Amino acid sequence: MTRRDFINKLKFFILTPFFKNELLNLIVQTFRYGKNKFGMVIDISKCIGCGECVRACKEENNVPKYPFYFRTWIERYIIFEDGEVYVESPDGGFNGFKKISPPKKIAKSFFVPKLCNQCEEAPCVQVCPVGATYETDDGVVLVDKKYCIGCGYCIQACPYGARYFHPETKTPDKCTFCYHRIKKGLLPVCVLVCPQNARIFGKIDDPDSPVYKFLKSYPLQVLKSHLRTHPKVYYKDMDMEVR
Amino acid sequence: MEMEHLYEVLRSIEGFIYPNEIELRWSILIVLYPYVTGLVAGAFILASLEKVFEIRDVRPTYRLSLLTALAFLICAPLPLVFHITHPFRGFEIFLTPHLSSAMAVFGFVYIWYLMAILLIEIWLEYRKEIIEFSKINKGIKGFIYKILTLGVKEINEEIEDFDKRFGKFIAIIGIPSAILLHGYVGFIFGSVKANPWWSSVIMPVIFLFSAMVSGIALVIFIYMVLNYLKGKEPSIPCLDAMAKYLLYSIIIDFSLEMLDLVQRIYEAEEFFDMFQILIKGKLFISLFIFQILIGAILPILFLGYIRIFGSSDSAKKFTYFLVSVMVLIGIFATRWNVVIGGQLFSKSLRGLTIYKLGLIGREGIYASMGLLFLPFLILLFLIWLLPPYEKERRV
Amino acid sequence: MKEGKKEISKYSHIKRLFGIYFGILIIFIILRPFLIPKSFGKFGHYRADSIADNINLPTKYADIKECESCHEEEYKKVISYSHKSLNCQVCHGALSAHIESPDENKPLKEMNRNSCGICHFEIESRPSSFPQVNEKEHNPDEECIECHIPHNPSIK
Repeated sequence: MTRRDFINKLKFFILTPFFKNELLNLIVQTFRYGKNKFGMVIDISKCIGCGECVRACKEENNVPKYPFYFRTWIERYIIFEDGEVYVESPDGGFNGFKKISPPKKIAKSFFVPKLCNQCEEAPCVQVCPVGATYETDDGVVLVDKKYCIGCGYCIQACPYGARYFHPETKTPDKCTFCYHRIKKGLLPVCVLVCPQNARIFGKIDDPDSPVYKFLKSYPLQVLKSHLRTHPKVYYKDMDMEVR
Repeated sequence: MEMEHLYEVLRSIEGFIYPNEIELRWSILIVLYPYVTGLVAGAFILASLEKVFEIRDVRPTYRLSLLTALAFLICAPLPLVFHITHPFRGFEIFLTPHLSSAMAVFGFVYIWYLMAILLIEIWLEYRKEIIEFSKINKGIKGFIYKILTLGVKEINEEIEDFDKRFGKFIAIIGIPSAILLHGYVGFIFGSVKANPWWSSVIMPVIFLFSAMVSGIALVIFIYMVLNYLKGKEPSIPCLDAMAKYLLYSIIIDFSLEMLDLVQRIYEAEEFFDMFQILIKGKLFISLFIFQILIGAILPILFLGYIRIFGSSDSAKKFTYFLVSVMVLIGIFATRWNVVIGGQLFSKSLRGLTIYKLGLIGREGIYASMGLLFLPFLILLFLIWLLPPYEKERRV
Repeated sequence: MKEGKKEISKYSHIKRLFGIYFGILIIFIILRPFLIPKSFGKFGHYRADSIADNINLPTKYADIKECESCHEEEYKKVISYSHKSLNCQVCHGALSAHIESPDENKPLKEMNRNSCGICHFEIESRPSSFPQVNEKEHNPDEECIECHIPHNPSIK
């Protein structure tokens, strides 16, 4: 073996364990879009702002019951006749909403439930320095609480405010589409308890799924589409004032 | 963060923020980190002016700049280690760096810069003294010198010459390394598309030039303090030269910052309404008074005056010292405005939150002051070990 | 003075330095596979075992089809009337614990004005097609269940 052969073999041996996974991931990522993935449609015209989804989610997923930590929350938009917009989310909608009786006349008013959008090109996954957050093959973005170092970069990178810092595990946490339920064929609890069926859940490319039917029939929007995160939560009847 | 504190933040919110945005995650520690790495990069580039571009006037501060860079570089990871909530998992950044994340390169850039650039350059510069001292000194100091020689105790003119040339080579590749060391921090902020204040092409460039500004100011400050403590006179030509480069750097940095501001005001994108409320309200003092007035405009005026009209030596010394302190404060305010200011407004673009700086605890003022004070202690140790006095040049 | 002293090369200190650096690098390369969690990198740049961590969590909310097996009459009543889209657990709380040991974990049965009002009190942002009443004007001193059976809410 010449010295050159030896050096080449050594290069391969050293670099491959470092970069094999990275190279493979780069290749795999380009083929990942939209196959067999979970998504949700939220029908804004149906939401009554009862807050049941917020309460059920906190119960099911052990989210601390303080008004600072939410996997899902409800925003209320009130658009007055003169164009002024008022937005509120008291305790995320955990205790529902109150009648406001404003002095001005209201033109439009509605509730917008929000949660993690499980983006296909999630900026939170992109910026994690150690690989503690990732997208599964069925489209759900999860957090590895045992590996996370707690730098908080993912919380900065999420454009939707979906992540919060869990005070007990001291890592970020967020909606997982109730991954522990959907893998057993159950529904996420926010979908389960909604009295109005305002949340529709299923696979986005399974023709039998209600999500698929919505996607192909109605005008839908996503939040902050200009950021090209490819969210998988779609809103029906979303007003232009919703951010 | 205790709940009490968060309830207080909840009461002080203006407008509407996403419920999860109440807690500001990146605290004063994350203001400190770019500040310290900026000082390192700036001090090193000042040293490179002498080594690479052979600007003889700054020779008296060459060794001091290197030691300053080393002292601050050693302390640079500390704010991060204090900040992450699982510091013992911090080594994961070396084991499984997620290369799509700018933060993941921290481990490698830091190690590269420390080991391949800074330590080697300092070692090569001091090798002659180290070998001499290892033979003269006894006790612990002698032991340290013996280790630093790496067992090679011989030196002659040929080897010295090689050291100088190799040192120059290291300094040459050190300049882009220093740029990378601090530039990636700017990229960490500049690449966050979710935050309209941070997301900008010019962010890494502004970080870099403000780093140079702060580094040069730091070396001026330390040089003058050190000479004062030893009762010696600082070299006026050296101070003049450093002040010249400081002035040029501030002008470039200020221009870039103003360009960024003007462009944001002109384009007036959606976040602009909240941006206006923020800089006219909570951020007014730290932006207009500290960053712009104290950190840029006044230094430019003072240094420019001296450069154009000249001045007496004592007036120069006083002004340079004052300007260096002002710049150091101003650049800290710059970092504050980017890190804290950028988190104050909500991604809903409809509201602002507040940042409460505590006194005690890992993320309090006392800890931060300690972390800023520590590099000076390390610098004192390094000066004791490796004296930065001007070498007697044999004719 | 030793004769025949070794000829010192002008590179020996550099060689020694890089030798030390190389040694550190080798140690790192050797140790790295032992320090990385075993399942890391299997599916992507993350610890594959974490997927199981996220799946093996307790479920507190049940599938209400299981309510039917013991409470058939009530179940059939609810799904015939206007609360048919309302999951049992909205009023009765999370029921997995109850299904597991029915006598130890009794479901909740709150029925005051607020528990009905959180959906049915009139507030500005609700869709107008949704049945709502004015909190202050609609029998403010009476409990809702005086007139409305929860499982069949039209007036008694």
